[in-house]
Amino acid sequence: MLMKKIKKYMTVFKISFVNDMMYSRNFIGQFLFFGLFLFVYSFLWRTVFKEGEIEGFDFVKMMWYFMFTESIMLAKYSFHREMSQDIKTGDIAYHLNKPYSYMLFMYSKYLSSSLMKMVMNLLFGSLILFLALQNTPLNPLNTVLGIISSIMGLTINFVFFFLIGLSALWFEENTAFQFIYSKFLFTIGGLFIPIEFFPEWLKKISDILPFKYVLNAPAKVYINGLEEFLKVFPVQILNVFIWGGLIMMLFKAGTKRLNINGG
Amino acid sequence: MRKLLKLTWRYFKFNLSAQMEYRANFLIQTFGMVLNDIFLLFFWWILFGKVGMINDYGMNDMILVYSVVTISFGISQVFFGNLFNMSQIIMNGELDSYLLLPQEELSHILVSRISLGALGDLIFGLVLFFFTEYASFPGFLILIIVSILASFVFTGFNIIFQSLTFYIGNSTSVASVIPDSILTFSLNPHSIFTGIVRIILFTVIPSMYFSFIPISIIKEFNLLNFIYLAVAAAIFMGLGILAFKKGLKKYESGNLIVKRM
Repeated sequence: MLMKKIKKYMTVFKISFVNDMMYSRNFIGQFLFFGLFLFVYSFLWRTVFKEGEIEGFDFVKMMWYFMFTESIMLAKYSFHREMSQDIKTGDIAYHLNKPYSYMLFMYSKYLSSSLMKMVMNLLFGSLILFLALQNTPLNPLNTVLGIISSIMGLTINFVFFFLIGLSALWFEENTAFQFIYSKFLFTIGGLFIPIEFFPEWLKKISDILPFKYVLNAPAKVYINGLEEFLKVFPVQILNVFIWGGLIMMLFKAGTKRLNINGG
Repeated sequence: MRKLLKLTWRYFKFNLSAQMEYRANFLIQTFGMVLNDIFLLFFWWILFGKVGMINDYGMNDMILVYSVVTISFGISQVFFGNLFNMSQIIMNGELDSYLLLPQEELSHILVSRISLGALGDLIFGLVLFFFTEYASFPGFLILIIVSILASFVFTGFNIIFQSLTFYIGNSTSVASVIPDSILTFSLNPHSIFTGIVRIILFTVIPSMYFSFIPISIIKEFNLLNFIYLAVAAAIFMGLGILAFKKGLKKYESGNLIVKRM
């Protein structure tokens, strides 16, 4: 029974994967942006780290950290826009009467698309950095652990994207929520600058909030390996369960509010 | 020229009032961009808090960089709001509706749209200037003049790449990287870029005219730098106009019925 259920969502995962592969040309634009960022920030970080290490980071580590966070950031499939539209137009009804969980259906689609993009970004970014720096602090174990942690990071992100999509039930215009969430990732999520650089009071706030577990934590696992993984992975799982559970309850309450007019 | 200024002003008023119809959206987009710029400065606040100075740049210098760049970008996008859509318009064969009207085509395309996000940038940059040590009435006047010139460099350079569609077909993906590349280089301390990259930033990607030169003029007025910036603005705008006009001769109508709203 459980296997049958898993198979159902695996099929959604596969279909979404094949669809994305068909449009692999779209990666060119993304790679151009990514390459540009890596290039510009290499100048900044080289200057900043010319005196030596800061908070355990040197130039090479910082570049690999940035490459990893940016790979996740650029990979996130923004399904919440589609979801908001479905709620506003009433098209969500076509999903709710199907024999699958809407949340898990969306998650399969999201993870397939995001994971593929992330792996492509990682391959491209690693190649560029390896050629440019001729140096890597990494080993295969760190890479595997980093990817496992980033899947958890993407899952935490899914929960928040789902919440933003769901907010269309209560708010006609929800773009402000998307915007604010992405800025939280950008700042206290540690996209450009590691949390370790923050003043103590801000570091404490970031530790409590879930945003750093989307970008900063996976990137640090990628850099520091098993010890870091054992520290952050349980907290990532805890975040998925707490936030995921709350949002599942909200989704159930929200669908009761749903009014769909026939047509 | 007078006719163009009048048209620009009328389009500005018309577009603004059209956008004000959806007041919540207007506020979200405009102040969302202000918030976005504040978040960008957050990065520098953290970094300078940790390292103090990066070469000769401190937090105060970065505030001035952000003020000039956001004002210049804001001017370009508020008054020439269709700049980033040109390639798409050419590719879809939607130029016909502009070609049929008595106004000069390029200026008409550029001014016929407004970017609300950029209005937020403009407001942010103007307010931010008063947080710098250069805030004074003469300083403000210089800021406005150099920002207008810098916005011409930015606009002209983008017109060249948007017009590439006339020559090579779909250039949308290349053209879309141009504004980001100029902005990304401009929003960093200029002294970190050395060697060949520095030369590129004065020529192929004119970021230095978008931040470094305007800022050095505001910090300490230098006539030579001012002339240098004015000449760069004229050259890039001239090249943009030339690229568009030459390309227009290759344009084939899309035979579309287009409704401009």
